[in-house]
Amino acid sequence: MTRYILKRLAVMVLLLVGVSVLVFFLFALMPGDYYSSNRTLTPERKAELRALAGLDQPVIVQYFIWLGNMLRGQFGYSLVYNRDVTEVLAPLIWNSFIVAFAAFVLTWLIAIVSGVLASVRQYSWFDKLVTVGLFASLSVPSFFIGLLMIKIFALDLQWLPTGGMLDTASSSTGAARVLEIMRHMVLPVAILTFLGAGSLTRYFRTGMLEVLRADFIRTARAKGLKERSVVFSHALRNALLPAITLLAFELPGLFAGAIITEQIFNWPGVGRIQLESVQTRDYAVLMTITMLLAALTVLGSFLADILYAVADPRVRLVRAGSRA
Amino acid sequence: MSGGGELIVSQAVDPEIGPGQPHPDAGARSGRSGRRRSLWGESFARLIRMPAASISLAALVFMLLFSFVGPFLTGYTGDELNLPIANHIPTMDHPLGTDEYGRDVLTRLMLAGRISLTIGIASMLLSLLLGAVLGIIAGYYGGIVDSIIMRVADLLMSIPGLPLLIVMAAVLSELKVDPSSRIYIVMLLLSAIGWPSLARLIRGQVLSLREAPYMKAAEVLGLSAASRQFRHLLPNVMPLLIVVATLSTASGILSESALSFLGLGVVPPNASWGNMISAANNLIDFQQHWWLWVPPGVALLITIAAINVFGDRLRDVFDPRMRK
Amino acid sequence: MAAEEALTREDALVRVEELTVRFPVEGGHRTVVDDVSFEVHAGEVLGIVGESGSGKSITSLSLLNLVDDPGEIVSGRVLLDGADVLKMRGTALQRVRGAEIGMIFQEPMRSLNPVFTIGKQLIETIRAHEDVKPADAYDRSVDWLRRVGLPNPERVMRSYPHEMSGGMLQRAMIAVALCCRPRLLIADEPTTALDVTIQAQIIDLLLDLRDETGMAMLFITHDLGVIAEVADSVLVMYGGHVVERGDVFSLFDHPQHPYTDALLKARPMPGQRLDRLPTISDEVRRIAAAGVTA
Repeated sequence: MTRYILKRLAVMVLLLVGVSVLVFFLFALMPGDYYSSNRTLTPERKAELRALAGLDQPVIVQYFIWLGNMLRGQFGYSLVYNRDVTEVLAPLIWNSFIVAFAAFVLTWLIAIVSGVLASVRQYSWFDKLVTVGLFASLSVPSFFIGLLMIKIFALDLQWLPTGGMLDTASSSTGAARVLEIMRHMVLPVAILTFLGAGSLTRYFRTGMLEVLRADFIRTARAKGLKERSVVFSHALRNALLPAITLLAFELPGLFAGAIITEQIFNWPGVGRIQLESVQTRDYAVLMTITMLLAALTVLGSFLADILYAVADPRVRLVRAGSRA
Repeated sequence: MSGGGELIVSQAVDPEIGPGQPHPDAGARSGRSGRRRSLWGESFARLIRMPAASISLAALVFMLLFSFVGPFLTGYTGDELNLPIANHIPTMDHPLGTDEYGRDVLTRLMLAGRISLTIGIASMLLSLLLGAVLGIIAGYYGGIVDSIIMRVADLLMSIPGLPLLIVMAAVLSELKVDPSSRIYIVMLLLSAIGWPSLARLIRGQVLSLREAPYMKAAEVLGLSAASRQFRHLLPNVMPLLIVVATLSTASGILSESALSFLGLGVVPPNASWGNMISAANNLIDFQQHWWLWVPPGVALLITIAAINVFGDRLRDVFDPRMRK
Repeated sequence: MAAEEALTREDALVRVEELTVRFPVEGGHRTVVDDVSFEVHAGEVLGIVGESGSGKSITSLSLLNLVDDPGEIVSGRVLLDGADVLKMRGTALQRVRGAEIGMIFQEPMRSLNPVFTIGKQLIETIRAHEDVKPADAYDRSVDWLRRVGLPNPERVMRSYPHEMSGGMLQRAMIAVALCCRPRLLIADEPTTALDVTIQAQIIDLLLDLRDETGMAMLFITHDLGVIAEVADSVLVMYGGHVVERGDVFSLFDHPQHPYTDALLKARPMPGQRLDRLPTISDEVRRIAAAGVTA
C-alpha cells in the first residue's frame, strides 16, 4: 500500500513539474508585458523597470528563477496591486471558497437524493421531472442563466442584490455582516448548484440503476430484507463507492473560483481576478493562479486514487497481496 | 466477407463500455421472417421510435436550417445600418428587434448560429480525429507509445478547461490576430483542449476490446496489424465514438460561447451566440433591451439541450443492457 | 405417477398453480414459463431439470416473486399454507422470504454484497426476521458457518466475499439462506459454477442439512447426474412447459416422454462405445415444445 502511495506521489510531482513548464512557456509567448503597453513610460524607463523585475533575462533562466521562488513560497509580485501575489490572493481564495463550498454541499445533497429516488422509481413522473431538470442543468450556458436570474430576481423583482459580496459602501460588522454576505451569496450559490447538480444526479441515477440490477441485490431481497434497507444500505453503498473519486475532483473548484459566475455577480474571488489579470497583463498573478489550479487538480486526482483504494475492500486487500 | 459499413459482430461482445454479455433475447432477434438487418440499421430504427430522440433530432435540424438557410429568408443581410430605429423592440418588420446600429437582430442571430455551430462541429471533428487516432494507437500498442501519449494527455488535463482556454486565448489576443482568423484559432484551441479526454476514453475501450476472442482470431488468421485495427477494432469502437462525438459537440459549443462572452473567442464584427450575450454587460441593454441578449441564450439552450438529449438516447440504443 | 398418488393434497408445503411468466420482446411477448403447476412436499427434494432457456430458473424465482422487470408474472398462484405469495406485499412477503423460504443462487461470487463482510450479511438477515441482540446474532452466525463446514468461522465473519473461494462462498450463502430456519430451500443451480469435487461436497452438505432440519428443497439444475443423486421427485422442463414428472427412480428407469428419453440417452456413459453422440432431434423438440406432457 505504501509503495502504491509513493509511486503515485512521484507521478504527481512529475506532472506538476511538467505543468509548470507548460504554464511558464505559455506565458513566455506573450509578446508584451506589464510595462510594454504603458504609454507614459519612456523606453529607457521601461528597460529599467524590466531589468528590476527580471524580465530581461533569457527565458530558461527566468523559468528557473520562478520555479525556485515558488518552491520557497514566493509567488511573485502583483504589479497592479503593488503587493505580493500571496497577499492579494489570500482573501480572494476565502471568498471563492465560501461560495464554492456552499454550492458543493447543496449539489451533492440534491444529486444523491434525486438520483437515488429517481432510480428507485424509474420512469415515474418524479424520474421524468428529474431528467428534464438534469438536461436543463447540463445544457444551459452558465453566464446566460446567471444573467437571467439577475434580471428576474434582482432587477425586476428586487428580492436579491445584483452582485458583489456586500451592499455598496457597507460598513456592517459581526452577525449583520454575515447575513449581508449570505444575501449576496444566494444567487451565485443557486446558479452553481443548479449547474453542477445535473451531471452528478445523472451519475448517481445511472450508478444506482446499474447496482440495483446486480445479483447480490436479488439475494438481499430473497433474504427478506426491507426494501428500504436493500436500496439505501446494500445498493447505495456500492453506488457511492466510485463517487468517492468524484469528491476528490471537486478540490480545484473549491478554491479556484467559478470564473464566469464570479464575473457576472461581481464576486471578489479568484475567478474574477483571473480574468482581470488577463486584461491588465498582471502575469505574476495569472501564473500563480494557473499553477494553483493545476496543483489542486493533480492533488485531487491523487487523493481520488488513494481514497478509492482505502474505501473499496477489493482494491485495498488486493494491493496487500492476499488472495484475489 | 463484410464490406462497407455492415457491422456484424459476435453476439458475445458488447460494443460498449463494459464486459460483453449475451443479450437475453438474442434468439428472438434473428428469428425475423428471414431478413437479417445489420446492427446499425436496427439501432437506427429503434432510435427513431423514441420520442425524445426524434424531437431532439428535429430540433437540431431546425437549428441547422435556421442558421444556414435562415439568413436567405429574412430579407436582411445583418449588416445594414439603420440608426433611426436602433435598439427598437421587436416588431413585425424585425421580429427580434434591432441592435445599437439598427441591424436586424434575427438575421444576426442566424449568422451567429452559423459561426457557433461551425466552430462546435469543426472542433469536435478535429478533437475526435486526434483523440481517436491517438487513443487507438495508445490502447493497441501499449508500452512506451501508450505511456508517452497518456502523459501528454494527463498534462493537458491537469489544468481545468476554461482557465487553460482563457490563458491560451489571452496569448492570442496579445498576438493581435485578426478577427476572421480568430474563428479558426478558436477551433484549434477547443480541439487542443478536447482531445485528451476523448483519447483516454477510446484507449480504455480499445484496451478492453483488444483481448476479445474475435481479435485473437483475427491475429491467428494472419491479418495485418493495420487491418486488425481498422477493420475489426474500429467498428466496435464506433458506437462509443459516435456517442462521444455527439456529446463533445455540445461541450465545444458551450466552451466557444463562454470564451466569446468573455471577449476572448469570436470578436466583433463577427457575431457568435456567445458574444451576442455579452451585450448584457451594458447595463442599459441588460435592463431594457432584452431582445439583444435573451434570444442567443435561448438558441444556445435549445441547441445544446437537443444535442445532449440525442446523445443520451444514442448511448441507450448502443448499450444493450439499457434496452427495455 | 406412483409417488404423487401416495401423497395427499394436505402434505403439500408449497403448491404452484398455473404459473405463467412472460418477457416483452420486439413486437410482442415471449412466454418463458407456460402454465406450470407442481407441488413441493415437506421434507422432500424436488428436482427441476431442463436445458438453458427451459424456464426452470424463472419458475424458481417466481416462488418468491423475485422476477425482475421487464419480466412479469402474468397469472398463477404460489400457495404457502394456503396463502398466495404472489399477492403478498410488504412485511408478509418479507416474512416469507428468508424465514419461510430460503434461496441460494448459481454464482456465489456475484450473489453476495462485495462491500460488506460475510458476518454483516449473516447478522442482518437474522435480525431482520427475529428480535435478537447483536451478540446473540453474532453467535448464531458463527454457529451456522461452522455447521456449513467452514473452517475458522470467526475469521470468515470478518472476511469479504472476494477473499474467499467459490466453494467457501457457496457454503456461506447456504448459511445465509438457512440461518432463519426456512421450511423450503430453493437451490438454483448451486453447483454449476463450481468444480466437480466441490460440487459433490456442496451436495452432501445440502442433503445433510435436509436430514438435520427436515426442510424441503427445490433443486434446479441441467445436470441429470446431480438430479440422480439429490432428488426424490423430478420435473422435466422444456420451453416453459413441464414435459414429465415423477419420482426419480421411475423417471430414470422408464421415461415416458420422448424428450426425457432423449435427454437421458444424450449422456455418454462410461464403457459405451459410440460412433456418434446421440442428440435430441428436432422432432422430439417439437413434441416437447407443443406442451404435450407425459
